[in-house]
Amino acid sequence: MSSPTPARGPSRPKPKKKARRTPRQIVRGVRRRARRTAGKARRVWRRSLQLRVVTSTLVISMTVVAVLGFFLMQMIDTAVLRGRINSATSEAQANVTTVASYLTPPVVTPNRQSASAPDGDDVQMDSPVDQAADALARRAESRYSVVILNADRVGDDRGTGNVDPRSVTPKLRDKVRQVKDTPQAIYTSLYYVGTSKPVPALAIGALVPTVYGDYEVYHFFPLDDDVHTLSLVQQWLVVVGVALVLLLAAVAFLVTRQVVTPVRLTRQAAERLAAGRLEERLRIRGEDDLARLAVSFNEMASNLALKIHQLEELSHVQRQFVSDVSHELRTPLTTVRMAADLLYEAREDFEPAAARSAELMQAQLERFESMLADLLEISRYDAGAATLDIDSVDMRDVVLRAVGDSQPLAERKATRLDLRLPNEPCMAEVDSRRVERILRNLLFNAIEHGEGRDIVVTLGADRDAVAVAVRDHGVGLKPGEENMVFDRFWRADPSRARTIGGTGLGLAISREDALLHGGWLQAWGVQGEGSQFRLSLPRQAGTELRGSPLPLVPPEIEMRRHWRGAATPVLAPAIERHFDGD
Amino acid sequence: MATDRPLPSSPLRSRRLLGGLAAVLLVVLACASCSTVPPVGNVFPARGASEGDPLSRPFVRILAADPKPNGSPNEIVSGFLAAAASFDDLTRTVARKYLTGEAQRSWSPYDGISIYDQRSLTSDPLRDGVQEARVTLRTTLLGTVDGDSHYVPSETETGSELTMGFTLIKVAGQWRISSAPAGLLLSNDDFKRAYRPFDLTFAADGAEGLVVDQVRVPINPRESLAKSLVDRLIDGPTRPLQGAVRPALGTEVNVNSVVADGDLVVIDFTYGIVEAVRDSADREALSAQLAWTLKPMTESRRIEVRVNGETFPGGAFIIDPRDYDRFNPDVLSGEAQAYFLQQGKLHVIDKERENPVLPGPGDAQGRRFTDLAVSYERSAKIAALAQDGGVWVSGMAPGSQWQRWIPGAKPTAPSWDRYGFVWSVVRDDGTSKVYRSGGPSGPPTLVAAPQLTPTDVSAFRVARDGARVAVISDDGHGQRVLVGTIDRAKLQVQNLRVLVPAEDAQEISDIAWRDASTLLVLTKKKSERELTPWSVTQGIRADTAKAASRIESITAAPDPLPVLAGTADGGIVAWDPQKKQWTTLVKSGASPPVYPLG
Repeated sequence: MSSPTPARGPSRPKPKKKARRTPRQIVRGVRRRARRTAGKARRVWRRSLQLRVVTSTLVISMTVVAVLGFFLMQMIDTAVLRGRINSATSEAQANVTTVASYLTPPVVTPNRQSASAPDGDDVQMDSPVDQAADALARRAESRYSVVILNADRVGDDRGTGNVDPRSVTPKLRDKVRQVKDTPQAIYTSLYYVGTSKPVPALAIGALVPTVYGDYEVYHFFPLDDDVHTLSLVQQWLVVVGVALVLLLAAVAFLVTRQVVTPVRLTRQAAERLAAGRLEERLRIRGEDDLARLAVSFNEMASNLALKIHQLEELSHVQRQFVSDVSHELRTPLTTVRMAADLLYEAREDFEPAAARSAELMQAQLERFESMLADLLEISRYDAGAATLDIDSVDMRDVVLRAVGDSQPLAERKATRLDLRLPNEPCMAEVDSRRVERILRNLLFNAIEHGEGRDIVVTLGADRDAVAVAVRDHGVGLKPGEENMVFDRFWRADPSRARTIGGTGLGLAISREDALLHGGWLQAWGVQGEGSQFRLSLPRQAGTELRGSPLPLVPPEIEMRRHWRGAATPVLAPAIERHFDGD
Repeated sequence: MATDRPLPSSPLRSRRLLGGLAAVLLVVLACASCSTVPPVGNVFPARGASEGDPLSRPFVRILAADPKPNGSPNEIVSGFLAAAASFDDLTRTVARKYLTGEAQRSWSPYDGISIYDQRSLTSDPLRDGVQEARVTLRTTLLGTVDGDSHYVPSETETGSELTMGFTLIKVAGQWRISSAPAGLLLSNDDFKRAYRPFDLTFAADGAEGLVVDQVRVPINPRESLAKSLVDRLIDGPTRPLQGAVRPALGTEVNVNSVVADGDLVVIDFTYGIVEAVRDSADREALSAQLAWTLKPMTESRRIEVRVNGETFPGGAFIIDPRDYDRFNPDVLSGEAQAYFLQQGKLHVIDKERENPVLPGPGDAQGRRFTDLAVSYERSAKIAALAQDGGVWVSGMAPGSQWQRWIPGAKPTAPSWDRYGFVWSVVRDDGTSKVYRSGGPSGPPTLVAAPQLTPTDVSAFRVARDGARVAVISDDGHGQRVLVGTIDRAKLQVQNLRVLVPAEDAQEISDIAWRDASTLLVLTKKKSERELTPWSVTQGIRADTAKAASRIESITAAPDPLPVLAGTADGGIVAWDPQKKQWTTLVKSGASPPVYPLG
């Protein structure tokens, strides 16, 4: 058990002016803050099952939706564009046939009449290429644009609508002139006269060989509608995908909430149960697994409460029994005592052996009496009947009285008592009788186990508390015995006889007394180093004790330990020797 | 007990069966809803969304190409002509590349437009080392396009021979044109490609009516045809119509855009439009003008006028074309009836009721009336020539009296205009005087017609739109048909142009307005009579002539009303367009039939 002093936290002097921080400090600060945030996030992540489930659902569903959406989009793209290419190609091929029929002289003449304007406009051209272009323009309307080029003849280049001839890329033109039989297609940009922004389009070029030379017919099918449709579909896919992911996350959230909330309630109930609130129960809803968990929990809690209750009853009965026994023993004991006193006073008249028996009986009766008193005292504590008789006293007087009481025993044991008291009065609100009893117990204990060496009694005080430490240099305590010493009827070495006739209840009563004051009674001991018992009490009755003015471990021991840790291995034996010789 | 066992389980089993059926049905339904095209369904009209802009028409452009490297002079001239015919660029940037630097400065595409046909290019033979070449273009000139984009056919009907020379010199080893004829030379194909004929309509002066004016609207690939048309409408009527009509749009107006928006055509004007239509009559006239001019494009769509993209101040300005049917430039609707006189009585031509007599007009009092004319008003009037001179008018309501409106020994046949005036030309002292009369009181108004005064006028017909007149006049070189307009403010007949030129031994018997832009002309050449429709707005024959033997006079009304004619023996015949022949309506004894106005 460490000294509680560091918990008080010494207040560091505040700097008057805030010093300007260097960049390195700022970086460090930022890093620290980031680390702190990350740590907090990690803690939240580790602690929240719900967060983990929702996050993993989000990630998985996002991946699935992204992959599905990608493939779906690919399929739609292919389907839409393939349909478009097919219809465009067949239309272009029909147009090429039309152009060829116009540009082939023998066929032109009979065809002229049938090719006249369908809607009555008197636009009837004379030159074959104009007729062909006109027919194509009427058929195309605004669905697509046609460009007719002839590299051999001057002035035979035609375009329908406001198509810009720069839409015909050299790449396509070269390919069309190279491969004469099959129409060639390419995705390209379609430019219009008067607008600078191109339109995505499918261009199909074909070569029509005629007597006038090779005519190149290029069809441009604008794809802006398809692109628009596809981008709309894409947008919808994204929107639906995002909605789906969010929906899944929400579903995961709701589902985990249904599981996590009862678990959380159960955990809180268990915590409260652990804190001693045995009446804590869970509410049972439905018949599912969680409800069954709650039922089991409640059963466990009520069984526990029952057992604890039974044990309490049992212990109460036992305490009552001890108290009753003590009381009942007192009356016969008094009679026995009176008889024993008579015998004891008349011992000189007895034979030596009988006189010795009378003495022995007298001594054991005294011990029996004090044991009975201690038993009664402790049973009072157990029954909660002990009360404090508080008075403001100078602790020095209390210590001196206790030391005075112990003096005869000390002399008998040839033990010197070394008192270290402060000069000024050391007032505290305590029950002086009980505190005196504690100190007496501690001193008797120290004398008994001090093996004749010096015993140091130190009184310390600060603003809130007072403390008395009793240090002996006896055999000390084995590790783990610091708490056992306060157990009832505990003895360090069962084979050792009690010389001063201790009842085995002294330290237990002392601890109860200290606790009744709201103080601490603690022990420290190392084998061969002796031991120290420290009593710490608040100065004002009823206030909580935050720390003790005296260390539990004696300062010289602490110092030695420190030095040993800091010393180099070369010096260690010297220090060891030095302290050992001390 | 053993027999009882199946009993409670049988309803259970049937319930389970039902549940299974429901599940199967659900699965089938889900599958059916998954299939995108239903295998069966109702019949629905296969009317797809019309693609493209309804306000534009498909058109073809010449793609102007740069001069061919090492091209022959012929090729350079052909290329220049093609590039000049390309209307992508008003300044003809590409065509200029065919010219030498000096020629680029002197040549301008704005110096007039000539339309030719049947071109032949000949070039002088080239010899090595020669730095100059000449190319001759021989063509037939068809006509020109004048400044207000009105096509004017060349005077001679077959066109005149035209020879133009191009001079070429070598610039940096390439032939370039150093001198080219001024202006644009377009072949007939080029002209048809670059221009679209449209009928503009303008408000008739002082009446609810429109006058048709035909123009050639140049195609601009950068804007819609409708916008070009409205632009042209703002520019006002062509020269022959100026003064006779009232342009409802001020000159301060510009059009920003014309776009189709579903069932609405939105015309966006600049702010000047608000000033132009402050008067409700102007607004009405503008609405009628837009509705009728844009009719071929907008069809039955409504038109909204906006100002700089915003709604017209004081409420949306929406024109429903159906509200302006009464502004029809043809004036007469399909229900118009034709009239004739028989034994001094007025008859209506009605085949089913055997041409009943109208009791309305007053007693002829012994006069013999010929050359009937019927007005088109709420209370219609008839005018006729009396045998003993003068133009007489009577109402058609019972109890009306004949009154003399225009005196004169031998006036031409009377002609009503839509304003209720009767017109006639009186030959007096060797000069022709045009009279207009609005009533019996006082002398008739003399209308100035300087071009007609010295000629012999045998027919004077005011068109139904009240703005145009057609005249048969003889200036001593034969009879011809002139068409002009009436300036009602200055009270004169102006802008008379020859529609049907004089020909040897050709006599023009009669003329009649069919609709706003078509005039029927009855000619007689060596006892061969022919009836020819002429387009007044274009100045050309609208159709081929039809044979018309025995016919002496004609009257016509817009389709679908038949053309009626009077024969020499007092019969009335009607042209049957299906059978393409004349059918007899009245055998004899009738005066020539007339439709109201025209």
